[in-house]
Parts: sequence; C-alpha cells; structure tokens
Amino acid sequence: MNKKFLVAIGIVSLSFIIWSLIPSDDKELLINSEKPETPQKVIFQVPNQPLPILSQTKSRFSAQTIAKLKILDEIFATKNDNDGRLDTEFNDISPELRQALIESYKAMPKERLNERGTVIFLLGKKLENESDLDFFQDVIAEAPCLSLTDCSTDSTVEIPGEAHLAEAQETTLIYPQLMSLRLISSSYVASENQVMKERMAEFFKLAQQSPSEYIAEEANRIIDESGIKVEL
Amino acid sequence: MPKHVNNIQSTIQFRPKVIKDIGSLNSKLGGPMRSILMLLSLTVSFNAFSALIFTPQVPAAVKQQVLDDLKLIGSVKALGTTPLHKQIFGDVSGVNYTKFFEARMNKVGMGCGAGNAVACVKPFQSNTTMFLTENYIKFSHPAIARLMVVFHEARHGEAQSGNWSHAICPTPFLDDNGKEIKSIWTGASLAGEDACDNSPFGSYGSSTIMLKNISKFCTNCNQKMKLDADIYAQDQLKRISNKTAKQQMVVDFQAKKR
Repeated sequence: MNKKFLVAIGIVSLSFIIWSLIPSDDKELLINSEKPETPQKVIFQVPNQPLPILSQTKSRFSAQTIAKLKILDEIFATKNDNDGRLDTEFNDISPELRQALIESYKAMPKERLNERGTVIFLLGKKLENESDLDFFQDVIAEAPCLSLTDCSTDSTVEIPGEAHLAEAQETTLIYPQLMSLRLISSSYVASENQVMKERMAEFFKLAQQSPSEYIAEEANRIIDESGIKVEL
Repeated sequence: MPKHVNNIQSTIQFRPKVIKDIGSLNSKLGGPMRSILMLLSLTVSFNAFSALIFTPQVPAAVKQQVLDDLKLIGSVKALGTTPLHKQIFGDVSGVNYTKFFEARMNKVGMGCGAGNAVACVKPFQSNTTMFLTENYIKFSHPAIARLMVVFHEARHGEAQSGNWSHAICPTPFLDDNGKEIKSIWTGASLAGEDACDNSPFGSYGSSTIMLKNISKFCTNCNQKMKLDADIYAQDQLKRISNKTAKQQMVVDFQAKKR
C-alpha cells in the first residue's frame, strides 16, 4: 500500500475517533443550529458604569478624593474582591473622602450589595470619632433588602424542595449589615477610648433590635464572642 | 470520562495511564501506524487534559466570571491548614482547590430552574457538569460567596459518595440559643427541608471548612476577602444540623497555623 493511501485512511480514522470522543449532547449542539438568546432584562446594571458619585462630584471634591473614587470604581468594574488596593489605598481616609464614600453608598442601587458592603468595609477601617459611627447606625437601621433582584419587592420564587439552593443568597441580602457588625466589633475590641466603646455598644444595642431576626441573632452572637458590654 | 475519586483526596488517575499504554503499543508498530497512533494519543490526551468545557448556552459574561472566579481561588496561597481541610482538600492552596474542582467538574452548562439559584448540579443528568444561571452575574454576591456555591455544588458531583445528599433539617430546627432557624427572606422554617448536613464532609460542611481556612490562613487574600470568607462560613455553619459534626468543625477551626 502506498503512503498516500495510508495517510488518507489515517485521516478518515482519526476523524471518526474524534467524533466518537465528543459527548453525545455536544454532538447534538454541533448538529443543530443555535438561535441566539434574547438578552434578559437586568434590573440593575452590572458595574461597568461609573459610580453615580463620580459624575456628580467632580466640582465638589478635591482631585485626591476623585482619584480614590476612581480606584474604587475600577475595582468594582473588575469584580475582583481580592484587589490589593482595598488594603493599601484607603488606609488614611480623609474627612472629605469619608463624606464622598458615604454619599457614594447612598447613591448606589440597594441591590449592589457587594459594592455597598465594600464601601462599609473601607469606612470601617479606622473609626476615630463618634460621628464616624453615625453612618453605621444608619446602615444597621436600613429597611431589609427583600430580594437580590429588587430590594423593595419580595420577588423570591420559592420552589418546593430547593431550599438548599438558597445558599449564600440569604447572607448576601444582609451583607452590608453583617459587614458593619464585624467591623464595629473589631473596633470595639481594639479601642481604648471609653466614649467610642460606649457608642459602639449602642450600635450593637440597635442591631439587637433589628426587624431582621438574623441580624439581631448575629449581633447577639458577636456580643457574646467579643465581650461587648451592651446596656440592658 | 472515567474518574477515580475517593473520599479523602480526589485526583485524576485516568490520564497518565492511557498515554503510557498507547506509548507501549506505539513502539511495536511501524511508520504510518505509529503516526496515526501518535495522533490518537494526542487527541486522547487533549481531551483528558482539556480545560473546562462550556456549552454554547453559557453567555460570554457568565463564562468570563466563572473563569475569573476559578482563577482567583486557584491563586490562593496560605500558611496553615486545619485537619478537616487536609482530609477534604489537602493543604490550603489554589493548586489543591483547582484539583478538587477539576476532579469533579469538566463541563459548565446553563439552567437550574426558575428560582434564585446561582448554580446547581443535576446528578440524574450528569455528575460532572456544573449548571449555572444568569444569577451568577446578576446578583451582587461577593466573589467568595460565588466560589462557595460553586465548590458546594462540585461536592455534589461525587456519585460514589451518594452525591453528598443533604440531610433533612430536624424538626424543630434550632440554633445554639434555642431559636428556630428560618430562611432570611421567606421567613419559612427550614425544618423538614433537605437543606442541612449531618457531617463535616458534605457540601455545606466542606465549603464551610474551605472558607474558614481561607479566612484564617490565606496569605495573599486581602482583608475584605478574608472577612467575607468568615462571614459566609459562619452562615453555612448553621446548616450543620448534627451537633457532634458541628462541634468537630468548631474545634477544627481553632487549629493554629503550622
């Protein structure tokens, strides 16, 4: 047999072998033409858009503050929670930047729970004044987010027998509040300022009274764990 | 694709053996047949070592987010591991997390029904396919929460372990303070639902252990990610309904760095 014939047999055999190795459902996909999917309506925008604060604040805040907000916006756009700049670029938050971050938080759609939690994380890095705690009290007093698609509406589709698929969702609904609880408790333990400690204890008392049972229970757990002295 | 998976550490043993066998056959045959068999071995090895396969239904944005998330977890470095983590995953490391995932899942598809699910597996259909939904990118979950879900579901792919089916949450289902554990947003009791684990090694248990270890020992995670890991681990711990199992995990989490 000549070489060309053998090569031809080899190519045909190889094609057959490759075809047989493809899983059957993928073969169907290759055979049948796919219609492009109609994009579903998204209730809030994926974070490719700038934070609302940036478009409104250019004339109000200094260049340094705007630069920090831009860093945060870049981090949100990449969805990279592990960006090292969250640990390095926001360690000395000026009063102006603090104000800008608070305004940014309030301007964000409530459904942007991770982004709101991230802003809380940054604001909680260094709590020096009693007024720094006002924002956190507002956070813990917020109306609960009722669903991940629309905080104002309980649009949960409950499917019998699929409670286990609710993993993570329940925690994310109150993620900003959980982040607040953790940060204030860390600050309480680290603080030597009695006035600040008393204010932080007040924060936890407010959390204990949350309409969300889960937030109240988590507050109780942290109070016990951290030895926070809450007045009865 | 056949896999050899055990409960302690999952590795893919199929691939090197196939290549070795083909190699020995190859040496006994002459010219053109050797070429064909070499091409065959490359084809098999390509399939065996191929990256995660995404079905055409997976939107580009979902695919990119999954790949980014897997790259994130695959980059984890750590100094320290708790004993339970070592049993399930090995040492805390991105390499081990990647191995764990790739030993169980080789394909990503779309569709988990009409609910709020982010990801699921359907053992009746495939033990090696992770199904996602648009919620994977629509919902504003922290990255660690998405990874927790993905690894939770990957654990369900272990057919030889009964897919680590969930335990029925007890009735009543009470927390450590004697209060009933309910779904946060529906307010419905979880008692009687198959939404608990009675072992540290199930899907809730293993993902909780993974997150706790990341929180404790990750050396290249920023503070937010470590805090997130602890927040979500604390929530998942509630789903361990067996008191002995839960206590075993609590003790495990107190392990110091090695």
